[in-house]
Amino acid sequence: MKQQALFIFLAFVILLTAVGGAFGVVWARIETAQTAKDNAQLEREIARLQREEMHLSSVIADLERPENLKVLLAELGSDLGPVSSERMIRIGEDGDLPDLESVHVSTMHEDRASFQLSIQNAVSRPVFVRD
Amino acid sequence: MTPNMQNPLSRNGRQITLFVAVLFAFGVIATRLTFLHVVDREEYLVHLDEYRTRIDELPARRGDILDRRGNIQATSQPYYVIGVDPHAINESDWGQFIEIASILNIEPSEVLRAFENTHITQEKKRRWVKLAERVDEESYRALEKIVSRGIYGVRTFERFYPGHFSAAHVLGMMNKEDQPVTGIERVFDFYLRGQDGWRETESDSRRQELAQFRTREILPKNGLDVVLTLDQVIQHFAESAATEINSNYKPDGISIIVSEVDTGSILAMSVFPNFDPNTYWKFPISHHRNRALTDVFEPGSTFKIVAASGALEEGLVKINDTFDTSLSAIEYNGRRVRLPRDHKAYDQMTMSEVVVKSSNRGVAFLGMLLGDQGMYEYSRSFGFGERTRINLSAEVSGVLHTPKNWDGLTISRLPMGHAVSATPVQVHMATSVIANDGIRMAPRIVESIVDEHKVPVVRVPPKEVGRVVSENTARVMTRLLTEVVSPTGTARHAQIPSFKAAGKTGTTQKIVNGLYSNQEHVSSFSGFFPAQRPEIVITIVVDNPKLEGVGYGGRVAGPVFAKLGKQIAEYLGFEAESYRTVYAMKGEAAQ
Repeated sequence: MKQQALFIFLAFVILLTAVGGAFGVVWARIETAQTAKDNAQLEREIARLQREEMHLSSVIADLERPENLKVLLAELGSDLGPVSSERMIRIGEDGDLPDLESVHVSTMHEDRASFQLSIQNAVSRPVFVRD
Repeated sequence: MTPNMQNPLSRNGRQITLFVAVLFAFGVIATRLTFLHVVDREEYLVHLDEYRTRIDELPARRGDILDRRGNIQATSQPYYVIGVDPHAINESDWGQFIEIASILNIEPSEVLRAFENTHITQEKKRRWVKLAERVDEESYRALEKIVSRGIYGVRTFERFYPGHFSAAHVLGMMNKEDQPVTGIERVFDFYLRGQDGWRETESDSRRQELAQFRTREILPKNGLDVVLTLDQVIQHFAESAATEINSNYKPDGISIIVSEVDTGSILAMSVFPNFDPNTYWKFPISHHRNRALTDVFEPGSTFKIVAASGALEEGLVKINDTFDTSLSAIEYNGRRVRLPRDHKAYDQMTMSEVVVKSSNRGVAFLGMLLGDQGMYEYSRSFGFGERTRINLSAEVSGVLHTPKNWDGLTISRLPMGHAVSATPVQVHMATSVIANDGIRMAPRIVESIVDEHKVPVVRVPPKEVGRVVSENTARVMTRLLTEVVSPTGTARHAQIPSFKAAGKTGTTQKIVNGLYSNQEHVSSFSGFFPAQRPEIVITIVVDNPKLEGVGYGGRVAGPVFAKLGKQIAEYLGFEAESYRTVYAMKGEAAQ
């Protein structure tokens, strides 16, 4: 009787292991498939964002064309423009940049300052520009 | 055996029948499985491989082309080819045809026609009708929102050139087969194109990928970006100048080249007629030609720097030595050589006047002092008769014959820029020699090749070809060329406000039907500034400008040089030579 109970118990354990294992394998496969699917979805999403970035880069490049910037400036009614050489004040390479006070005293065109252009243009040398 | 221990099969016939039937069914299944997995295994594996296993290509993204400041000049953009499956369209979506047409920028009737185009033949269904191509990402998404099914997009990557006409000849283009045809696109295709990857995977019966069965994968390697020496803003100045010349003179062609003196870096190269590489097929093939590299012309007076520099370098002449330019012929190597005419009669001229007044006769004397071989060798060392080896396609070498092939007149004609043909870029680089203290640089169009993080992978340093004349000769020549661009020189219209410039005009009669034409000319100007420490060289070549009278280089190209020079000086912040440097110290007013 005891042996029979043990037999039934073992048979049950084996059955449980087999069924559980089978379900485990199926579950693992489903999970693997789901994870792979999610990864693929993420890859697609990344690719989509990259495409969007490419698209936006080209839109920005188009907007930044000198022709378009000119139109934009005209629309904004801005008087920003190239600085003529006559209106440049040059700072000695070993001297500190002056504070604004000293520039205000020195320039005749202080009401039309254009610092952005001076910074943009001064790539290799310290040029301080007032328009 | 007790009754309840009896074999259940023997209990009744129905159970036995059922048992046999089940056994038979399993037997059939087992047999079928045996056939599938053992007997016909190989055959089915082939089908399985065919239908389930697939290799997906993972395309690499083509690199961008950037200017020296990182502005995009050429990039790749996703586009869609939009088509419709007339059988899959929902009836509810039929009403959207006007909106679909407006998104795709086509006629509504075309959409309706596509919806109704259901069969190829009576039996064969049509499953794809093309509606539009080159549809951008935004429009495609808008389309997806309004149509539930039946309209599909096939994604392609196409080249986009945001500057459109700007630097089109330098950038080149990609054709519809995605093959590079000209320009940087072609020459640097190896770096730009990258390397496609691939992935081995499986798909289900609906051709959807089963990502869990991916096996091998080689990721794509995107193309590298090419950084040009061009500056988008200076290029824009040059393009505007070319447009202005075109509207004023309606010439056959224009080449404008701007470069840095000490590196040979090309800052702008504008060629007219031009084209938009985004829609290159709409322009005649002749517009695709980079005339700065492919079209040769007799350089005329711009070539006079060769004979003058050579004679000075060899110590054959001093700038105050005089020549009798009233003579129409002289003895040379035991024979009488007729001298070319000047546009006005001169008598005695100093060597410096020969250059400043651009005397054909005077420069012929200089050529004869150099001799055949000397003249030829100096022409070669200034870069004539050979390609400059700029990294752009289709460059030609021009024509410079060796002395053994010269006729009796060549020694008197070559010094004034006849009997030689050159490309605008050759003339430009020859002028650069004088500006660069006698050292010839190779033209440089690419600065570096960078990866996606903008880290340089390949650097293209400036390349020195060699010394042509001494620093002293170059400076003397610069002084003479500065007088050319003075109120009394032939290029007075080329003067740049606040800067001293140096240069040489050129006006050449074109050869029409084998004869020099009095109507058709090539007007040119090649010069540099600031003259005291040259930084920028500009060359303008205008082919056959249409105007009253002769299209002199000083008249047609000179003012363009002046305008361009002024714009570039302002943009790059050059220090005006005619203005005193003002030092402003903290707390003190600058005077």
